[in-house]
Amino acid sequence: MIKIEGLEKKYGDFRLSIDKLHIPRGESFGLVGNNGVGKTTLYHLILDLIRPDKGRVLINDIPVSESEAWKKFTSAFLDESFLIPYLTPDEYFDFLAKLRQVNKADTEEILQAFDSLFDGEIRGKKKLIRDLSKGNQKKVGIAGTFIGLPPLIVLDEPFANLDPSGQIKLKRLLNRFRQNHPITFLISSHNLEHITEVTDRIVLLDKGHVVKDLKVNDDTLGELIRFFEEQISGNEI
Amino acid sequence: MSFSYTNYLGLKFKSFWRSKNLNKKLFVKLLLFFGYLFLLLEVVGLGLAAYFLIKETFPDADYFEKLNDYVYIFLLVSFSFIFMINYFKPEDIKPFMLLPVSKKRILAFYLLNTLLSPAFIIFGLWIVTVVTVYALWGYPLAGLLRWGAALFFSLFLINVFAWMSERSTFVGMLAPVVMIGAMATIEKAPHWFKPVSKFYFAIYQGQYLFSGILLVLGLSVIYLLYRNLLRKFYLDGKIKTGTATHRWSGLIDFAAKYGITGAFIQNDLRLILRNTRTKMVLQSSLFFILFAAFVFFSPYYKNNTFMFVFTAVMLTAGFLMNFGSFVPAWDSAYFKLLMSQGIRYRDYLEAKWWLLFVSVIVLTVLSLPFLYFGPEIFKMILAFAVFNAGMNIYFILFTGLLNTTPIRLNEKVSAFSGGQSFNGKIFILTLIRLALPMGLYFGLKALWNENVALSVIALTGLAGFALKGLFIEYLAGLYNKRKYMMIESYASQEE
Repeated sequence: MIKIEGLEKKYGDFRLSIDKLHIPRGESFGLVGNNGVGKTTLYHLILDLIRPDKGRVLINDIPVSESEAWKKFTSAFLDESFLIPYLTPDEYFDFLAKLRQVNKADTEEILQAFDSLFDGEIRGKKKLIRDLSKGNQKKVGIAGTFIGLPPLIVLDEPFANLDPSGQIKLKRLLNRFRQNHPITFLISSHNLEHITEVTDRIVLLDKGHVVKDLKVNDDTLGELIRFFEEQISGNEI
Repeated sequence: MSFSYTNYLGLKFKSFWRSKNLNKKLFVKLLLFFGYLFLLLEVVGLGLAAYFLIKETFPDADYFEKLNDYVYIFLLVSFSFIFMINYFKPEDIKPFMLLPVSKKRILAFYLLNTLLSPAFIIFGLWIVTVVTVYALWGYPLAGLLRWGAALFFSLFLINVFAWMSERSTFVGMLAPVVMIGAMATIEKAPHWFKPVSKFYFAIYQGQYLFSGILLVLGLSVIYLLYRNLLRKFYLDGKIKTGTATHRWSGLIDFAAKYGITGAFIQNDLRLILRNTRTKMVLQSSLFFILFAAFVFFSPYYKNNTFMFVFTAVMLTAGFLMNFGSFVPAWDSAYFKLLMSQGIRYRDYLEAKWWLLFVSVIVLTVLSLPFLYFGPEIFKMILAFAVFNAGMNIYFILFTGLLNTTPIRLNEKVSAFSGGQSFNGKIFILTLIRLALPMGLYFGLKALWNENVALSVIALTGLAGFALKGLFIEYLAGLYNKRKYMMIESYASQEE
């Protein structure tokens, strides 16, 4: 689904450099790393929101910076700049459905899967997105990416800002979609426990490089925790 | 150490000098500075000339009493001016809410700070000038000082009112109406406002009862409003920004019928109706109609073709200039979303085109009353309307593309405080936008005559309609090229 070839991007002292990374169709791919290791940069490169210095990203064999055809089967929610603040959640979903040319019934069916996560606070209300809490805004953004069930869904920190039940519900929801639909997920999180529960494979990013590429099994969580503990051991804390 | 007024000023100072786009802000401030300076010179000049003007016009009257008859104009003008530029900006207060400083103190500082605002300086200096001039010509200084102080206190009262008011921009837009009214009624109005003049004259004469009335009335009003605001000093009170409205839903639903373009139009209508900034754009588009009425009515512009042409262009281009010039910056808050959807720039631009096109039509219909001024003026309005709708839209969409400043949608910006998204480039572009149709008119008129000029302008507009597909395609190509740059600049938090 996603192929990264010799990708490089420089910002001052920082350099993101990924020689080769291949995310096969249907895989749920996790991205882990501390702040400033290049996760957002990588996301922006994949979504063609910034231009690489070297190399390229292909989605479905389409180079993202050359053609825009990949947008037809990709959707993403990175931050609140993917929300339209002056719409109600229903209007926002409706707008996305129209852009992706998804009919009302299909949209409704997908959104119904989110009913439990929404907890009665999102749909059928007249509240504008900008007046929602951060957690509820996040729910709207995540649900928006599923409209039309695009083959590739990119989520940045989907668990952050969600309340505890929201986090558990989202985990179940993601796993349900993984089982029932051939969707490729690209998910990042600072919560190591959550990310190991919703992905097949996790890549650890550090200082702009891939330092670990792990197939998720029972040992993965321990290994991730060990990695971050080693990073701080011997230091000030 | 407690939080003092100097601390407060210091913070304001830092917030200005450490802002991200300091250069641009400096440019705007400089421009405004000269604008205010010009106004100041004019107002002070008026103060200086008042004595001599009155002496010439009413040689037999008491010159000061005569001046005092027109004091209502001063009050009305300062009222509209203050309402336009001084009002409560929630975002100024918010950062102070969590500081260990008492609310009373913050409000007092905020109010005190308005004394330093241009409106106060300009109108205050008028009072000082008039008092000085009249004192020099032998009028009793004590009385003049009392009179000046009373006027100044009235200014302050007006300011407190402006500060409390909700729809201040709208009231501010009344300024030209007030001006027209004052000008049209200058023969009779002093008579209507006799009580006002008598009141201030009594203060001048030293009838302390009246000074007392003003003081007590004023102070109690200030106190009451101050208390009222203190109670609202919570996030859900005055400090709150934005509300959810669901008006015009019929119009919005109507747009839904037209596919992807319709979806964008729907979104734009909601954008316009639900955000502070865009509502201001609507208001100022209507403002040009008032402005036009002012120009056409005013004897001052009787034979000023330049002013007439300028007005005819702006009359139907009000929305086009105010909204179109900032496409796509209006969508800057969620630009990444749009860029990651499978949309075609053509659909996006098509929607904006329809919106702007309809705005020109609506404004043209609203200009129908100007038929009153004769077919010559209306012919001009109509020719420029066709030009605006047919050709100018592309040009303005093109210039909007050059604007890289994001817009914070739900924030109030005063019409004269140096709006967001205002920069040197945009300023020059505004001049070009005006120079294009106006230059065309004057050039052709000089070469042939007015009728040829207007015909060519209208025909250029019609040609623009015919070539719509071509222009939109060209603009879409530009969007494609500038994509990364726009994403980057819109992502910066500060304007």
